[in-house]
Amino acid sequence: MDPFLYLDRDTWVHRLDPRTKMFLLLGSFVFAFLYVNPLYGLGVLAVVLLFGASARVLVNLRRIWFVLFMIGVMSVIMWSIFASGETTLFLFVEQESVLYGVGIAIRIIVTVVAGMIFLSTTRNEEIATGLVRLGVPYRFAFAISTALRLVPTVAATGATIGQAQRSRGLDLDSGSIIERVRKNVPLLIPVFVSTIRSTNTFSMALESKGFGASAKRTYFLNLTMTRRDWLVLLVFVLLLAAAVAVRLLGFGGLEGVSR
Amino acid sequence: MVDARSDRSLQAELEQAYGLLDVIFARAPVGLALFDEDLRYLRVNERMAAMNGVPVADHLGRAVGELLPGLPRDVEDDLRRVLRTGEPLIEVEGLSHRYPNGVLALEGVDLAVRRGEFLAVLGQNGSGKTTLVKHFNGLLEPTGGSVRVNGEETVEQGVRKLGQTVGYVFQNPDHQIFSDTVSDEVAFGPKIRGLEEAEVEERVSEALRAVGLEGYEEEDPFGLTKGERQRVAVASVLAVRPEVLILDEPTTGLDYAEQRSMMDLVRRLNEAGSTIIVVTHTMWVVAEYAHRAAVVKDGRVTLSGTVREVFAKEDELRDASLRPPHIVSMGNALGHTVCSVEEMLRVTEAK
Repeated sequence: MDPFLYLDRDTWVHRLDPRTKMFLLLGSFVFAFLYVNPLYGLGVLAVVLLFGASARVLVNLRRIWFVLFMIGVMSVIMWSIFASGETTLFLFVEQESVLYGVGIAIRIIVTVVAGMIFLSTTRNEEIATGLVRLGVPYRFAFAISTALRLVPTVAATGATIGQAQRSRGLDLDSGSIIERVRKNVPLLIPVFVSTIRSTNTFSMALESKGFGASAKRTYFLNLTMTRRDWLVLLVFVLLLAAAVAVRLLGFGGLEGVSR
Repeated sequence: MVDARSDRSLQAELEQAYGLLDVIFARAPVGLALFDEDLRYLRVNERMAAMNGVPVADHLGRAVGELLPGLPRDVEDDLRRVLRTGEPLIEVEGLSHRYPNGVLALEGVDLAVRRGEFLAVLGQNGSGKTTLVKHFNGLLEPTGGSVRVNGEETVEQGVRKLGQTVGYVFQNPDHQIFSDTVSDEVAFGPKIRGLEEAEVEERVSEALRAVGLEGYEEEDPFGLTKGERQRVAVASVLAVRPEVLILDEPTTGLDYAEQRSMMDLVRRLNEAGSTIIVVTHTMWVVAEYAHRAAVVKDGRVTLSGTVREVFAKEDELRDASLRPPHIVSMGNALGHTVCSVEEMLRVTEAK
């Protein structure tokens, strides 16, 4: 099983400079948090999905759909209960609070999907080099790329450990909540131990390669902003400005919700 | 195996079978012989007796090697081993496995593992051998075909129940060790299956004795060497007293002495009655320890048979990116497959 999200395709999104894609990612967060109204939110989601479809990376949705689904369901339930509105649907649930829950769910889904598209179209090295070229200190950029690399590896190790303990008779699916938490000890300790062991090796490998020997380093990967990048950024900034203007004119909000 | 209820009909059936055997032995146009598990003659027909040049009556109770001095002793050993194995314990039929990401890891695999066997599963990285053995204890479910353990589908039994029949020692012992002391670690399996304290203690000391770690009960497993940690992992699986023991690359990362002592341990377990399945790349380990070998290539079992049969087919092995040890190749070049230097010496000695 491949623990990484990156899909090696040759599309215009893949060919964009990683810095451009980082701006698009940040911009899409602004888009996501601009509107509370689920109708507008759906519009934003549609644009993000369209973007992902043109990069041919939406297959990765299959890997995270369950998380997205659960976030959506939880958000709608929570806000239906805790937010209050004006038009009562039944008991203490109001129309506005349900809509608010849906809006918040879409917000979160948009940000997660945008992040997924970014990671599916940008190689780890590109992210690190892109950050450095933006002026982020190398050590910091390296930490980010290491974290991105480590999370899937740790998850894969966790899956193996789960198999090992289940074949020894560990049953995680029964018992009270406290029992279940206790049953995770045989999983957590090996995960920590093997992660610490491999981190130790990792740091030695870094040192032996002369990590941090000189303040400035060069890169094999040469990033250049092309005319296409600037064009995409221009279109995106115009869209974003238009969207902010629409919001400032009073559209896309949700009337009658109080938290 | 005497069932009081059907004692009579069983007797009748046996008599009928023996009657049939009499007819076959008398009329068969070929030489026939029946052996017990020590390769001693139980019965022969006239033709066989004529071929051996010894009267029928003189065959009974005598060892095969005695009457057939031309039979290489190592081939005789192979025969004896085959006769000692029991009924099929794991039956794989038309097994296919497709991972959720669409990769077809196994396709149409047929394989049977008999009780008491020592099977080596060979193949290069990514050939599907680990995927194959993970079906034996239910960690993976077939996406096509069937896997039966003790006659029952693995899907029906589930990992938890199967864990008592089929023990699985993972490649990296650090993926399962979590306790502060060796004895706690070994006790985990029996305890979680609800055994009583006295029983658990007995099994822990039995398992530690089996792997040669007596006196290590209070040691911290994380402070042991890799070879010792691997033994702890084996002991913790043994404590459940499984019938089958699967070891995933048990010699990887060990030095020669540790590899030897690990494999000697596995051989002792096999001789004590455990069925052993070893997934490995180390060809000399296969040659010297295993009885049977199955070669997996691109998700299919391309070769299967006694180690001698498999290692005789060097071209097919090379096709699966495998190369037998030099002494085996040398034997092949000389026209008789041997599995170790000792065997080479033995068969080249004048009898």
